[in-house]
Formats: sequence, structure tokens, C-alpha cells
Amino acid sequence: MSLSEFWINVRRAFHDPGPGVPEARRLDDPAIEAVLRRSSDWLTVDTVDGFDEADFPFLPEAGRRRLKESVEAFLGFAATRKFRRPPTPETVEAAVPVFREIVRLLEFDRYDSPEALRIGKRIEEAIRDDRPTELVDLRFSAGPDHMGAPAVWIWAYLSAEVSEDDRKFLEFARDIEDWLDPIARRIARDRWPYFYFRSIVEEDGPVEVP
Amino acid sequence: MSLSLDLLEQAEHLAKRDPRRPKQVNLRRAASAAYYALFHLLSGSASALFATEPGLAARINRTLNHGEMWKASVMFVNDKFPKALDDKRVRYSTPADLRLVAKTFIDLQDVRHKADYDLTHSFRRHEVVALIQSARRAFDAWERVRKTDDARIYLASFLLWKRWDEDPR
Repeated sequence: MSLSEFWINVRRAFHDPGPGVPEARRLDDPAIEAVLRRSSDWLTVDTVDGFDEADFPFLPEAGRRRLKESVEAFLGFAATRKFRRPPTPETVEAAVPVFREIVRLLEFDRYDSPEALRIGKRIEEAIRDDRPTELVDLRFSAGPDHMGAPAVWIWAYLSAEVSEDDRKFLEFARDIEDWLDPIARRIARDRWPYFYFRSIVEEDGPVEVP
Repeated sequence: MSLSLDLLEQAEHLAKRDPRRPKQVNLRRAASAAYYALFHLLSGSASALFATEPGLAARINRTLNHGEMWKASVMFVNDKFPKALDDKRVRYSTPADLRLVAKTFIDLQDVRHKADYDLTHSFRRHEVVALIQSARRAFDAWERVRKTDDARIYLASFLLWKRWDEDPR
């Protein structure tokens, strides 16, 4: 079993064809539920195939436990589906909060791949005690860069207060990159860390048609 | 003013246009110009190692390759000196200013690819302003380090890294 297998199965079942990280819309509970209520195709045992709690050592213990319990509960609901018959509306209704919890824990809007999840969670854990309040969000993407070399992209979102003044924003961006860069290199040794800084108030900025 | 400084200024100008509702085209061109500003600063310095006559320097400049410059920059960021030139008795450590220049070159090359080719990425004004600041920092660091042997070897590595990184005969 592997983290990738499970992650891909859940991602496929949670079919949200919006843009990926960093442009992905915020997946809060109502947004997740809206996707889940479009269809009940996700309610099958295949959705959580590949899950192994041991693949998530980078999650805090409470998160790991919640994920395990949610997967077990999900399998209980999925097992009631027989012979490819659609699940009853009552079963779907009861399963929505369980699958929502799984999606919420994997945070597809913040980590765009299993590797991004693994690296991102480790970085966030490493900085937890020193993280300045001005750094309000981080998003991670992993893959080969334009040269084909392994890379991790880190989008750092700074607070509205810091973003009011360009000089202040730039000071924070510089300080945070100088602080985060060696941490990212230590955690993702084989990957080049690319940093991008955004203002949290620009999160839903205008996007022109290509 | 030099082409590299003009490009940096152009990047700043484009990033600050329409601060309330910036156009993607301006942000993309600003991000790309920030990369090219640093590219021309370094490629111009590299060709100046070999020639002072502008025409000849420009022709040398044309032989430089973004990918080879990227590879040499990765090595310097990782404290790697070309094998054939390395003093085996001492572990090489890239000077901080040179590391900053090489790192920024790599970072901005990624930005340039996003800006010029990747329409799934939409730029934000603050994001671009921060990228231009990185380029500005690299310019300042280059000014401090450019007269050192480390900097000259870095520049020459754009053309000679492969040859210099072989074990000497």
C-alpha cells in the first residue's frame, strides 16, 4: 500500500475539476459538501483503497487517528452498497461527513500531490513553534521543474495588515524566505524549493481569460 | 543605463501599473523582465571576461545557454566548485553573496517559465513585486562579489563547467 495510491484514489473520487494549487478555491466544509452532493459515485470501497495508517507519519497523532477512524467508518458505509446498486439517500447522507473529513485532512487545496502533502506537513511541523502570525497560509506543489529536476513550490500568503504597505510586505517576504529556505532544503533534500509570496487579500485576484 | 538595469526598471514599472486591478499581461512581462535583467547582468559579465569590444562581447554573449547557466548556478548554491579547480584539502563554501546571486538566477528562471508559458499560473501583484525585489537583492549582492575569483569562476562555469568538472588528467 502506498500514500500515493490512497491519495490518488480519494482525489479521483472527490471529483472537483477546478484549478489546482495555488489557484484552488478554499475547500471548507460547505465547499467539500457541495462537491460530494453532486453524485454518490464516491461511495465505494475503491475510494479509500491503499490506505495504511503507517504511510502518514508526518501527520500529528490526532490527525492520523481521525483519518484512520474516518476511513474505517467510510468502509462501513461503502460495504452496504451491493451489486453496484446506488446507495440509499440515507446512506449517502450519513457518509458525507465521513468522506468530508477525509478530504479535509488531505487538503487538496493546499497540497497538490502526495509528495506535496508529505513535504508540506513536515515543513509546517518544523516551523510550528516559530511561525510568525503574519504568515497566514502556505500551499505546496511538488514535481519536476522546467529543467526536469525535482522541485517543491511553496506559496506563502502574508496577512492583510502586512500587505497594506509594499515595503512591509517585502521585508516580511525576504525574512520569511531566508528563514524557510534552509528548513525546506533540509526536509526535502532532493528537491529545489521555489518560493512565491502572495497577499492573503489577493487570494481571489482577477484572472483574465488566456 | 545598461540593458540589465533597464529591464529591472521595466519590471518595476509594469508591476506597479494598475495597482488595483493589474493586468496579467503586465505582471507576466514584469516577472519575465526580472529574470532577463539578472540573465543579462550575468551573461554580460561573463562575456566581459573574454572581450571588451562590444561586438565581440555580444557574440560571446549569444553562445551562453540558459540551461548551462542554470546547472552551474545549482552547483554553486550547493557549495560545489568545479572538480578540476577544487582544492581537495579544503571543503569549498560558496560566498554568501554569490550563493544569493546563483539561487536567485535559478528561482527567476522558474518564474520566467511560468510567466512565458504556464497559463495555469496567474500572477498576483505582490508576488511579482517580491520577485523583482529578489532580483534587486541579487544585483546588490553581485555588485559586492563580482570582483572576486569565485565570481569569475562562476561566470566562466557557464561555458566551462562540463570541462572543468571532469577529474584533471
